[in-house]
Order: sequence, then C-alpha cells, then structure tokens
Amino acid sequence: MSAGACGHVLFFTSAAAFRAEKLCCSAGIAGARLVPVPRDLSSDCGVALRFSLEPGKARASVAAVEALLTEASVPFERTVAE
Amino acid sequence: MKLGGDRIVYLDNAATSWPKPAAVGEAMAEFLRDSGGNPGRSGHRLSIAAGRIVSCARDAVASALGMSDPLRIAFASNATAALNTALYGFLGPGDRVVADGMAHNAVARPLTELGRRGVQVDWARTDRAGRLDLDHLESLARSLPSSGATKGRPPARMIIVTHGSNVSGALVPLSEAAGIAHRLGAVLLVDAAQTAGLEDIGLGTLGCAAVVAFTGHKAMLGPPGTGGLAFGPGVEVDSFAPFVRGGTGSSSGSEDQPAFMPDRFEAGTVNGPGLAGLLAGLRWMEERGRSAVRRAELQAIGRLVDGIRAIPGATVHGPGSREPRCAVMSFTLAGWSVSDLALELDERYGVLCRVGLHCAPRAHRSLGTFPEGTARLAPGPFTTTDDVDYTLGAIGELAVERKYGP
Ligand SMILES: Cc1ncc(COP(=O)(O)O)c(C=O)c1O
Repeated sequence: MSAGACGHVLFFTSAAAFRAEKLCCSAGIAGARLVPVPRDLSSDCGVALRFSLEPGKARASVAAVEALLTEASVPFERTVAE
Repeated sequence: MKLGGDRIVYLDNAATSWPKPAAVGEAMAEFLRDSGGNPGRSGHRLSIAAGRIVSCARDAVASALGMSDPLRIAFASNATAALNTALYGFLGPGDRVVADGMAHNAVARPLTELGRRGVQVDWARTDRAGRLDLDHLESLARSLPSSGATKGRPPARMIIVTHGSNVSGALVPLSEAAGIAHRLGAVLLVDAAQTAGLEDIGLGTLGCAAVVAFTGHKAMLGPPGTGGLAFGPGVEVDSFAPFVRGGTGSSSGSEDQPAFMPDRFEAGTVNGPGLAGLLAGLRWMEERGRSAVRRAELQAIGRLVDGIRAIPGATVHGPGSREPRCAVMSFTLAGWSVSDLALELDERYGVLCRVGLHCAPRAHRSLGTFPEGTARLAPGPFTTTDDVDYTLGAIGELAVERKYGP
C-alpha cells in the first residue's frame, strides 16, 4: 500500500466530528485530522475525520478508530478505508 | 475605613458576572480575528478552527455540569431560550407540571402561556426564607388530594426546580428533587442559571431523567449570548420537540430538522465568539478550582448575611448564612425604599446592586416582599473581604440616616 493511504470517518453532525478529532488525537491515532468531506464520499456534514492506514493493516487501523469512537459514544455514520 | 471616593464594588453578579477574567475578552477577539469561519458549516480551515473552539466549549460545559457526553448539550443564546426549548418542546395539552415557588419569569412566563394552552401547572410551596417544601412538591406531583391538587389529575410529567434562587439565594437539594422525579417517572428540569459553573450539579449521576438549563454569562464567567440545555443520561431526547428549526450544516438534503444531538436543538449559526469567551471563563474557573471559588463566594455571602442581620432596621429575606445557599442575598432596610437605597449605594459609595423584583414576582410573593421587592447583593469571584466590609459599612451608615420615618 502506498504511503499516505488513509481512511475517513463520516458523521451525521460536525459536533461529533470535532469530538472525534480530539479523542483520536489524544489517543495517538496516526494522521487524525478533520478535512472537508471528500467529494466521492457523500455525507451531509461538512467535515470528515481522516486518519492514516497502517500499511498492510488497514482493517486494524479502521477497527481501532471505530472502537475508540464507540467506547466514547461518539456517533458516526460510517468509516471508509480507501 | 473611608467610604466613598472612586471605588466601585460590583455586587450584581447574579444579573451578570463582572469583571470577566481578561482571557474572556481576549479569546473573543482572537476568535473573530483568527478563526472567524462558521463552525460546522464548511470544511475549510477557518470553519474547522471555529468548530474546534465550539467543541472545546461543549466539553468544558459538560465537565462543569458533571456529565460525560458533551454531545447531549445544545447551545442556546441564554438560559431563557434553553428553558423555553425544554418547556415548549416537552409539554402539551393535558400534561401536568409542578414548579417551585422561587421560579424566575424565564420559567413562570412560558408556564403561564402553556397554562392557556391546556397544560396544568401547580406550584410547590416555599417558606418565608425561600426554602422549597419538598414534601409538598412530591404530593403535588403525585396529585395527592392533601396537596391541594384537584382530584383526578394525573401525576406530573415534569418537575421544575430553581436550583439557586436569584432572589433569596436558597439552594434546592438536587439529589432530593431527583429522587422525587425518579419515583414518579417524571422529567426533572433544573433552572441552573444562578449555579451552573460554580455549584456541583452532577447531571451524570442524578439518577433520574434530568435536563439542565444553564447560562454562560453568570457563574460560568462567559459573555452574554451564551447558554444552553444539557440532557442527562436518563432522559429521552426524542421526547423534546425542537423549538427552533433551521439550518445545521447536517442532513441538508432534508427539510426536516435532524433528530440527532446537538443539531436537533441548534438551528442557525452558533455564537462562536461568545462560546470562545465562555470556554476561557470556564478554563479560568477550572484553573482556580471551582470549589475554591465557591468557598470564597460563600464566605463573602455569609459575611454579608450575618453583617446585614446585625444592622438595626435591616431584614434579610432568605436562608441563614450556614444553610444551603448560593452567593445571592436579599434584604430591605427600614426607612429606605429599595430604589432610594440602591441610588445612594451607587452614587455615594460606588456599591452596585440590583433592587426590585428581579424578574421573579412569584419568589417575592413567597418571601412576602411583593410588590416592593428587595435589594439584592451577589458577590463574585473577584469580590474581596474588604469589599464586603466596605459594603456593610455603607449600609450601616444609611441605616442610621433613614430617608423617611418611622
Ligand atoms: C433563576 C434564573 N433563571 C433564569 C434566568 C435567565 O437567565 P438569562 O437572562 O441568561 O436567560 C436568570 C437570570 O436572569 C435567573 O436568575
């Protein structure tokens, strides 16, 4: 997998996205930052959380983010790995 | 101690806190200068920067209210807007609600209108010192005939309490009010305008379905235009209809208001600079330590209550200095109308207070001070012991002078 592969979390509300960004950053999730929702992923909320996918372990990277958000009861629409 | 001169002693913190920590104004200016985008609307850096600040403010409020899920907080322009959202969103014709006798007009006026629309409103007794009679509240809420409730009425769906009275300073024990709500399966609505930010609310652990209305510009030390409604873990958000509907930056393809929090109750652009200021106020409080600030304010109010009680001709209307209370007290002075008293305190001594009915006529009826009202003193985090003693000296001088007989 090329360097820079990333996943996205889409949210219903930006309030959840901002909370997710803070949680992921303090949990040390690599590359976690808010970005405008990529055009090819439709979402109603203006921002998505981008994070890095560890080469060869994309699924684990996604699962880690999902677990973190679920644990903190931050609702999200879905996750997308490139 | 020399009285008078250019000194200003601000004892009107129950109306709005002043001064604010310097960081509050700085954070507001910084928000407008450096992160002026519309939070939650666009995906560019200024919108994201603004959204982060709003999100941090939400976290800080959750922590101040003792709840774990910040997304269950919807910001509003003040406690009044939050209370209207809760009342109009939850109550409908045929519903019963019981409120306490210290209620502010932010509760009493919406309830009066809802009463015209078929909501049955009952008022629980408070005594002459403003203490809520919790037994009466419970029997009213249960519609027991002994309470004076009309026979055949259903139990109350909602119980409303004024956590800290803005007139007497009486505090309602929230755990007991929550116990009543829990036993009845009613929702507890707490008007925490005077207390949120300073007193322990413990919304996450009240053990009943509870909703708290807070304002940002009093004990939280933020600017006016901030406040909101916080939904505790036991309450169904879906049972509250939105009061204001409009754009949220989410579900934009739909012309229905989103059902999820906080967008359900946050239509329209939020007050970004205000929330930046609120965040700075809450951080200041956190750094000082909420309980240390509260202790100091309680010490100041206790000294005022005891000191004024000892002045011949003065009457304190509210609980004693060692009873459960917040940093607000009311008094009257023989020989003085409250308005002359306030004018003299301001012009001659620079002591700033509020007199009259304080938007809470029902509270004054309970205290026996309607319609003249009272003079109200409310110290804040910047009030010193010297300010208190200076004020007591001023009131003592005026007590001797008396403007009119007997
Ligand atoms: C007990 C109480 N409830 C509600 C309010 C209304 O607060 P706000 O003016 O911020 O809406 C106030 C203060 O004015 C108050 O003291």
